[in-house]
Amino acid sequence: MKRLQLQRWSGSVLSAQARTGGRLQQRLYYAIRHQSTASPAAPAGNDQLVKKQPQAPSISSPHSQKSRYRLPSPPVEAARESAKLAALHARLYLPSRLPLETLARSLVHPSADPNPNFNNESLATLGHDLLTYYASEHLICSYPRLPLTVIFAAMYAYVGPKTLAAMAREWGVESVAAPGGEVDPGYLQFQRLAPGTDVNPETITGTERPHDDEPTWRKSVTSRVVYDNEYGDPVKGPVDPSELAERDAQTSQGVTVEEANASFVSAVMGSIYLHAGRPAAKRFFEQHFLSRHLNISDLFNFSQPARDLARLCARENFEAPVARIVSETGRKSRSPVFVVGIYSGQDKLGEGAGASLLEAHFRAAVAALKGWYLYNPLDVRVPSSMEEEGAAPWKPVHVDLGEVIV
Amino acid sequence: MRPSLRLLNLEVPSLQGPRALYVCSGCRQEARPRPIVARQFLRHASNADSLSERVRRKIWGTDNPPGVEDPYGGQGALERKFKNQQAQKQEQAPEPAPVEDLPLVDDSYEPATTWKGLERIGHLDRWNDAPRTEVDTYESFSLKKKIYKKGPLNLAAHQTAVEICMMHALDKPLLSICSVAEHEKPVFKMIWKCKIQPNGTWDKALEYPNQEAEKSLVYIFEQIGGQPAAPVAEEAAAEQTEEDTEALELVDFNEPVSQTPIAPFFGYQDARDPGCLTLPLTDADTKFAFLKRFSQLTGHYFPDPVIHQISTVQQAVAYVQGELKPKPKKLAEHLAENEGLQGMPNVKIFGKRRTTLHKDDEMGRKKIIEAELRARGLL
Amino acid sequence: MASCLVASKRPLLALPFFLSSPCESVVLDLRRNQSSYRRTTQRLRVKPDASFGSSLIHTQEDHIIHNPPSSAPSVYLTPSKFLPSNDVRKNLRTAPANSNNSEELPPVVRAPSEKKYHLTPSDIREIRRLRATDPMTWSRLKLAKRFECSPMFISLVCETSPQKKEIQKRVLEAVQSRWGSKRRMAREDRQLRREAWGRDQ
Repeated sequence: MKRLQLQRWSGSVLSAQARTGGRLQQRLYYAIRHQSTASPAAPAGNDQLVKKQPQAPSISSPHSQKSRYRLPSPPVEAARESAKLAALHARLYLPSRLPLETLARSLVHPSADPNPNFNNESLATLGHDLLTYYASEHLICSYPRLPLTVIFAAMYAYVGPKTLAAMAREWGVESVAAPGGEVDPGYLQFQRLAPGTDVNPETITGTERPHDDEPTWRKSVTSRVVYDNEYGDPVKGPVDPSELAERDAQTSQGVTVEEANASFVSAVMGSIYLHAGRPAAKRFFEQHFLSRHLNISDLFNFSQPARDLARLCARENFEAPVARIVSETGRKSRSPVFVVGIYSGQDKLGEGAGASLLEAHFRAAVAALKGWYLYNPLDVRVPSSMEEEGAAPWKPVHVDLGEVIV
Repeated sequence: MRPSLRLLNLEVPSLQGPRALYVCSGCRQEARPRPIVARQFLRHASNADSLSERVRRKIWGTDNPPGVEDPYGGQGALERKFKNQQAQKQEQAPEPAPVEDLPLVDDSYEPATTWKGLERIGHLDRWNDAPRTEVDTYESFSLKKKIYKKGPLNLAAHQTAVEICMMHALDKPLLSICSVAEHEKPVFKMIWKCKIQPNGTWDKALEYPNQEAEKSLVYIFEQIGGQPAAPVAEEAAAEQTEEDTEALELVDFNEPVSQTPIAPFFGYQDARDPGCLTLPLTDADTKFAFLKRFSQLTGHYFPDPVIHQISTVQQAVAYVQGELKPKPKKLAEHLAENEGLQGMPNVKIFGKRRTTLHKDDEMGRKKIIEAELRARGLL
Repeated sequence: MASCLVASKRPLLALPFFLSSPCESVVLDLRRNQSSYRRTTQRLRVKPDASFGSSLIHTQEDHIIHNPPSSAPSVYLTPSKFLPSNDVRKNLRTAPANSNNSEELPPVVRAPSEKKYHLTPSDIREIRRLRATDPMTWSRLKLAKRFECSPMFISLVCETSPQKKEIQKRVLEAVQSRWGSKRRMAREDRQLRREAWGRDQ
């Protein structure tokens, strides 16, 4: 497996200097920071002009407290002064190679500072990709038979925005009332939504899916892998650079606290990856994300488990499942209890207890199906473990038919 | 007004004229629970005694109850005061002989039932108006101003040690030295010239500069032991040793001359001999005498636990010097000096209290508030 | 008065001639019940379960006592039948399972019906014709009885007419309109409980 060239593409994320090409560059044309000293650059400047911009005005010139009010986000040198930031760094046990300035930058949401050299968008994008990659490889390798819907749900539970927001809250990250240059860089800075804004628009339009405008058409689960995001939710398609300004205008109206918190956690992941390397990022993921307990068996919901189980047994060439009464008590009473086991030949596949034979049978079939889906191979290895030094030769992970399709 | 008083007002309107107070129906209802008593009074309405008189009789259980006749009514406060003042003026005229009257048995003597109208007991004259006497002036035992510099402290320690040594040698009560608040200058110079052998005992540690000084010092200190004529003798001794001191003065020509008598130790800056520091303070009497004299000379106070810990002169001086380092008045300054805290990046020390305003500024709320205030013309 | 007191202090059994018929129940109640301390403790003295192992046999050896409480097995323990062939756990578990006989298996809930596959295409055509011509008479159940198949099969073969569906719907509505709040809530609760089965709650 080939290793990624870390330095080659992390430069665009790390350096404050703008680079030619790419999305970040295009944003610079209209998002040049207006300083008290520097006159705003012409929006239609060429690349050379942008390159000659002072590297970061807030770094070069010391700012008085007064002039900080004009900045959209706190200047870089404020990171060293903030006790909150240092405390957060220490609390998260972040590697010392990760400087406080980067942590401060990861706390700035694009809605607070549209300048991509000072906000966390690039870090959050990288961190989000890492998070979803690590989470999905962990799920797929350790539970190879999980249905796709359950994988979507589990992904959402591990690295979904709600979880990330909850983590940021557990880490003790507080958010500002309004972003600005004078705020403490230890706060999460973002533009808040105006009160009364509809947070959950019903339908998302403009996705990449063909025939997006047909609401009644069936959307297959498999197509969600292609067109939707990692949680199986519809996502907006890529935006043209020409329309980027419009999108920025939307984000400047404000974002939810949840979104800002999620972007911060992703950005921390990305900055750890950039500054401390892959092993540190992976360790961070294991310590903060995989350590959260998620009972995957609770994510299932069956409507006709007996039929599914029969299909499964037929597919796998097992004997047809037979429900047998393992034990019962109080059949003629008001509250009887039946324990029904599902047998395939001699082997018991699952067992369930219920107040009626029907319920017990249902529950036993659910248990048997969960037993199938929640198969967990021994000594699981994920593909990213091959990136370590001196890794053992790769053995393919277990793959079988998995989901029962009726 | 308490409900019970209000009840009386209701019942006795004739005493105070027309009823002026409004009583709400609730309070009137509240007053109802005692109708039996009221009726009992009403039953004897033909009696000449007023109601309050009857009540007082009932309370005290006698026909002649003590106290004011009508405690709830009668004259107003201003009227009573005016009356009292008149009475006082009348009393002031026959004032000169109230004391002489006391032993005599007076036929007109009437035991007082109340304190009213009685003369004041205690300091008969007005003590405040009396001129200040000698007794009234306060002089502090120790120095008014504490000594903080190291040199004068050593001087004080040396002087104390020499004095205590002298008292030891002369076998006089040690504490009597405290009666001499300050020596004459020549005497002090002689003391200053004395040496103390290190690690000696109190009786024999002293080393005089010469025979004459020893003689005069012994003579002076002989006088101290509590005789009333001591200051005079001391003066005489001082005169006696005048020549010596002058000679000595010539020797130490460049010594500082004290301009003002208030300056402690006559302008001497430091002790000549540090030998006194090694003297032990194990004997309880000596220790107490030394510390008492030392605190008299320096103005520092020794708490009991510290006295218990001190075992040498060195320690006593060290304690006073340790006290010398003035503690920072503010906690912030104290914390800012702490190097352990300075190295911590997650700790920030502010000179001033952090208020909601600071927090608002940190969270970016301040500019919104200010903008809103400006928009409404309040700022 | 005094005599009454004396009489009341005596045991009632000693005065049988006083007692009329309603008093007999009182006599019966005075019988000693069994809740004495000795009897209770005696009854609680139960032999330990066999799985705890006899102390006589295992006096010297160390042994593991495995006596789990009766509960449903965890779903994370994959049944050995579902384990893939290359899994080590499959071989470990199957060894003792082979000794079981089919006679020892518990009784089945419902005997699985044998599938006959006896209907021909002409039969199916007949079913469709009957269902189409007279949907009111030929319901799924009647057709299943006549052709000796399951109602499920009939629903697979043909669908009833929309008029019949509409009528059925109206009948259902008429029935449900007569339900009171209690019955309605009970039915809704039952439905909710049934949905909870699938989520394993």
